[in-house]
Amino acid sequence: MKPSPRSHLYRLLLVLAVAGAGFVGLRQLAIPDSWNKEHWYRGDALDELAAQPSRFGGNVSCEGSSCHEPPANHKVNYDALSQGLHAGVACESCHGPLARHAADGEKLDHARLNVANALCFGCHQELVARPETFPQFSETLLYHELLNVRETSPCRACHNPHEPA
Amino acid sequence: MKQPETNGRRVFLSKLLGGGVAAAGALMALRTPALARVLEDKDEGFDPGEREYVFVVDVQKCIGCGNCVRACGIENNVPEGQFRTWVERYVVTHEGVHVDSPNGGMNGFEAIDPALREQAINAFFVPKLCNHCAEAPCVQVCPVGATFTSPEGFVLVDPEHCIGCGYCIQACPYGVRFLNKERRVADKCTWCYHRIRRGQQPACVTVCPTGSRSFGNVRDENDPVTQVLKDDQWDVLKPGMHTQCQVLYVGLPRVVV
Amino acid sequence: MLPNESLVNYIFPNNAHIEWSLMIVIYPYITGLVAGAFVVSSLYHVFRIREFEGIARFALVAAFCFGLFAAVPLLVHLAQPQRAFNIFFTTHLTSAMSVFGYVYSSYMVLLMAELWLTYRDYFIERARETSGLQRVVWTALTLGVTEYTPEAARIDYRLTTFLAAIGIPWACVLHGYVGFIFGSVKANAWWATPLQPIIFLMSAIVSGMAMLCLMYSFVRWRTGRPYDYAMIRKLMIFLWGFVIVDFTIEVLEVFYSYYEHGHHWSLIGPLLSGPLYDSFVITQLLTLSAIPFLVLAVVVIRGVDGKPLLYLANFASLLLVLQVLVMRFNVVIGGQYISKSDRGFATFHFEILAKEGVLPALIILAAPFVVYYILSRFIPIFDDDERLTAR
Repeated sequence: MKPSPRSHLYRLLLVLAVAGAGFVGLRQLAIPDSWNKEHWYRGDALDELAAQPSRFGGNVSCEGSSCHEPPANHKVNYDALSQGLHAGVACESCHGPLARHAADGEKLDHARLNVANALCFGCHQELVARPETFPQFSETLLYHELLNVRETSPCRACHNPHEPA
Repeated sequence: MKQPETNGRRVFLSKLLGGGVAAAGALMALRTPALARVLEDKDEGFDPGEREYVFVVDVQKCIGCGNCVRACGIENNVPEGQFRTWVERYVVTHEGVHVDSPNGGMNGFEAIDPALREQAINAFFVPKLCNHCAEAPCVQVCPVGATFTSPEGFVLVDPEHCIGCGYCIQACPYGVRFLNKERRVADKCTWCYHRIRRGQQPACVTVCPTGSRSFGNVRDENDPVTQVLKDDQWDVLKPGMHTQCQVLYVGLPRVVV
Repeated sequence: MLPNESLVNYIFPNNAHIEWSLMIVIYPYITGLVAGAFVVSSLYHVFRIREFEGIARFALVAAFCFGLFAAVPLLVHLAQPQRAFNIFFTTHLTSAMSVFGYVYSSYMVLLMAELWLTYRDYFIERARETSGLQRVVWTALTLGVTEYTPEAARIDYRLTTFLAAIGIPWACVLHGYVGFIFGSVKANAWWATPLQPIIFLMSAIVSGMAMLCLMYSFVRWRTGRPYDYAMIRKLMIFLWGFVIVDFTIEVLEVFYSYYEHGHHWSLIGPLLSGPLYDSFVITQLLTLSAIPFLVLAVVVIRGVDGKPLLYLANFASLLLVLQVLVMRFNVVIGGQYISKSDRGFATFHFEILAKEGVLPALIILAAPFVVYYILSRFIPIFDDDERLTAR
C-alpha cells in the first residue's frame, strides 16, 4: 500500500506541533507568578529591592540615645552642630555610616575618627571650581595671617568641627 | 575562568558577613527610640499614586567634596571602579573645556595645573546620577523586562531577571549604567529606592554638606522641590534626547553635557 | 582631535570598559553569512537563476552550518547565560533584541525543513541500504516514511520553492533586526541611522556570496572536481552589484553626517580621523572595499573566464569576507569608542584567552566549517558526488 503523497508532511507537522506544545507548556511554567503584564516586570522585584538594608541613618539617628552618656559628649556635639555653621553637614560623612557603628543598642565599632587636616580640606581646600562664596582655606585670610597659620598647621587647634566658628 | 570565581567566593563571603552584620544591626537598631523613628518600615500606606519624585541638583552649590560618591558606594555596595553616581569638574577656557572626574570624584579633587587655572574663565563641579527618565530608552530596549519603571517613577533593575546582555548600557545617553562586575547584572543609581520606601532620603542627599543634591515629592505642596518647578529655572542633561529626565539641574552651565 | 572643544580626553567613569566586544562583532557576522548563503540558494529556487542550480543545495547546507552557531557568541557574551531563555518567556516587544529567540529558532526550523525536503529521498535510500544502528538513524530522519513517490516529489518541489520564497524576507528579518538594534540607539552617534538595517543586510549578502565562493573553490579543489565557471561568473556579477550597493550606502551615511555638520558629525568626525582612521578609512574602505571592487570590475567587464576567473574571484572574495568582518568590528567597537560624555574616546584592547577574546572568537568562527566537513561525509552536497552518480 502506497503512503499518501502528503504523509511525510503530516509527520513533519506532527513533530512541530508536539515541539511547539511542549514549548508553550514550558513557557507557562517559567514565567514568574508576579509578572506585571501591563508594565512588563517581575512584581516581586519591588519588595526585594526595598528589602536592601540602609547603612546611613541621617543626622536624626545620631540625635541621642541611652548609649551616649558621658564621656562620649555625644549630645553636646550634636546640639552644637545643629545650631552652627555645620548644621548641613551629615555626622556620618565624617564619622562613617550608622550601620558600622551601632546595632541593637550594642556598639559595633568606634565612630571616632582621625581629625587630621585632610578631613577638613576635603571640603575646604581652595579649588578654583568651588563657589567663591564657600569658605576655602587661605593663608592670607586675616586671622590666618595674624596667627601665622599655614596649610600644615592643625585646623583643630582653633576650629571645633562641631562648632566651626 | 579561574580568577573571578575565587574572587567571587571571597567577595560573597565578605558580603555575607558584612551584609549580615549590617542587616542584623539595622533590624536590631529598631528597638532604640531615635533609630526606630528613622529606620522603621514606613511601608504601610506607601501609595505610589501619591508620589512623583524629582531629584534636584544645584550646580552652583556643589563643592566637589565627594561625600556623595563615597556614601553611595557604601550604601549600595558599588564595586570599585564602577559608579552609580560621580562628580565632574569643568574648567572653561577660551580654547576649550577641561573636564575631569578622578575616580569619579570619590576622593575629592586635587588642584588643577596653574597654567590651566590662568586661562580659566569659569570652573564648577557637576554631580551626575541616573536621571530616572520618564521615557527611559534603557527600559525600552531591555529584551526581557529586567529593567522597568516602578509605579512611582523609579527606573529599576531586577537583578534576578537580568540576563546581562548590556543593551541598556548601550542605550543610556547619560552613561549612568554599568555591568556590575561582582553581581554580573546591569546596575545603576536607584535613587536609593530602598531608603525612600522607609521614608529616608537617598544616601547621597543625606551626606551632601551644601544641599547641592536634594530629592522630593512634587505632589507634596510642602516639599521644597516644588519651588524649583515653580521657579522654572531648571534644565536637564542632553535635552535633545527627549528622554524626559527627572533629575532637574539648577544653574546648569551651557557647556555641561 | 577631540570632540566638542575638549582640551583633554574625558570619558564618563562608566564608559571606560567596552561592554560589547568580539562576541558581538562575530554574532552579526555569522547571521550575515546565514542570510547571505540562503539568498544565493533562493536565487535559484525562487528566481530560477540557472547558473546557481548546482550550488543551491550547497548554499543551503552552508547556511545551516553557519546557523547552528549563530546563537553561540550571544550565549558566551551574556553575563547570565543560564537566564538566556528569559528572552522566550518574558519577551519585551519594545526591544528589537527581544525577538531574537523566536526569529532565530523559527528561521532554523524553516532551514531544517527545507533541507529535510531536499534530502528526504537520500535519507530513504540510505535507510533501505543500511542495517542495524545506521538504519535506525536514517529511518528516524525520514520520520518513518520510507517510500518516495513522484507525487510526493512534486509536492516537495513546490513546498521547497515556497519555503525558499518566504525564507528571503525571513532571512532579511533575521539579519535586518540586528541592524535595527544598532540603528535605533539614539545615544550612539555612530550607530544611530535609519540606514543601519539595510547596511547590515547588504554587507551580509556580500559576505555570504564571497564566503560561498571561497568554500566552493576549496571543496572542489580538495575533492578533485571541476569548477563551474559559468556559476562563478554569475556569482561574481551579483557580488559586484551588492558590493557597489553596500559601499554606496555606507559612505552615503558618513557623507550625510559630514554635510549636515550637526551633533553626529561633532563626534563622528573626530572618531574617523582618530581612533577609527586605520581600521575604517584605510582598512575597510581603501583596502578591503576598493581593491575587490576594482578586481570584480575587471572580472565582470572584461569577461574573465577559466582559471584566471577562479583566482581573481577568490582573491576578491577573500578580501570581502575580511571586509565584512572588519565592518562589523568598526560598527560595534567603533561606536563604543565614543564616550557618552561627548568629549573623549574609550580604548579597546584585544584579549586572547578571555571570555570575549580572540581565541574563542576564532573557534566559534571555525566551527561551522568543521560541521560542514562532518556533514559532507554523510550526505552528498554536489550533484557529481559519487554517492549520487553511482546509482
